[in-house]
Amino acid sequence: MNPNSPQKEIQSEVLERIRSGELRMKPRLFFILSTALVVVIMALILVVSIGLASFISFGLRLNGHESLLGFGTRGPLLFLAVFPWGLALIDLALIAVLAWLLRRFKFGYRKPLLILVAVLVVGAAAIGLGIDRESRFHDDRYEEAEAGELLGPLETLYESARMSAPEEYGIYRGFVISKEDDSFMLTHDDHDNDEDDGTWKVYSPPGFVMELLQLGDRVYVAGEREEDGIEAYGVRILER
Amino acid sequence: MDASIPSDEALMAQVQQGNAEQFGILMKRYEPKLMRYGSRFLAKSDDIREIVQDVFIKTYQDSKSFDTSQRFSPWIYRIAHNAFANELRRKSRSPLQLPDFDVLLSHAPARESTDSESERASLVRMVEKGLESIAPKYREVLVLYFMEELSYKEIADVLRVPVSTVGVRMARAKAALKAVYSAQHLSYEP
Repeated sequence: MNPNSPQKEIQSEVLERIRSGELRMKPRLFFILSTALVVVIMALILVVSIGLASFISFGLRLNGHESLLGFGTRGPLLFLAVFPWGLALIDLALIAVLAWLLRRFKFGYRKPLLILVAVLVVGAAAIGLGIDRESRFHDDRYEEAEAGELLGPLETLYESARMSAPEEYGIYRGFVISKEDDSFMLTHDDHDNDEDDGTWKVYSPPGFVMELLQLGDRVYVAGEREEDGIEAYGVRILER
Repeated sequence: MDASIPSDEALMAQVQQGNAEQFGILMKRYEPKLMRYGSRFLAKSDDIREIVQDVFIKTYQDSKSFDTSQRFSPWIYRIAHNAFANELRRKSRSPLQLPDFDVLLSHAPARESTDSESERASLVRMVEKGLESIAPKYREVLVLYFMEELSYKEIADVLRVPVSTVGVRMARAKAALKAVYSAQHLSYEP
């Protein structure tokens, strides 16, 4: 071989730098720590992502918006309109970062990306939903926020969960103060001091069993505002 | 392989223990391969030489992260793939790279072809001739499979894509190669 060939040059140059101590191997601990750091970051992202999913579920439960899913054909469309898409998009962005980090590992890149993202989205949503429905974690935090016992940003977050019932969408929430055969009186106060605050007569939707309703019940109503009241197409009793 | 010739993995084990001279043997073995691999990505040989040197430097620095129970060649090709892909990205106008569509979806499990040695040799010749006119991502799987003799699984590890994606790219690469040969009125016998 020609001693001046490029191969000779590269080899001798690299070996020379190794011999002189200019090039050193990174210690094994460096790789262990960097992998551990990535795993910790992934775990944190996963926890935040699950937390956001369960917070979305909590907000929908707190405001009663999930009731819309059972209100015929109009309800689900309205549900999409009031769904907190901003939080959901943040959650999806976190999951995208998590999928990107997972692809550093064999079990991550060996799976098609869409399947990986789908598993993470469904997994985070299912665990989040489970946490919200099976524990009082968010309810307790919400009460702490109301009592001013939570840290600043968390308190703002939990306060934002109690959205007003958006009357522009035809959503009302309040307490039943009297009832008749096919209607009931509802006190509506969505904390915005506007003209829809007050007492409304609600005409129940066809098929609604009035016997289920008791005075003092907290109800979620979706309907059209008419001159003398609200023509409801969906009524749901919230927790007693 | 001759039993008296130490394997790449055995040499790496010695490098990890501080025997840096053994790294010279590894460089001797891999430099022509990496130069050839790089020439499929980049046109200028000066750039390739510098990048291959950087690949060896990174390989040495990261030696302790190599698991000697695994094959060495996919590991060094992964480092080389990153280095050449970074260089391509640096030269391109859009540094942001979106994931390829074929890594998003699930494909049928890839099965490696069982070509005889003579068939494989003729394929290698055909790949060499038709390579320039094929898109880089298809070119790369052909090079790694036919010239560098990596398995689909190893190619998947180099490119960090599902094994089925390697199969899809290989099928598309062969189809593209066939189209090149048809356009030039040459016979294609895979």
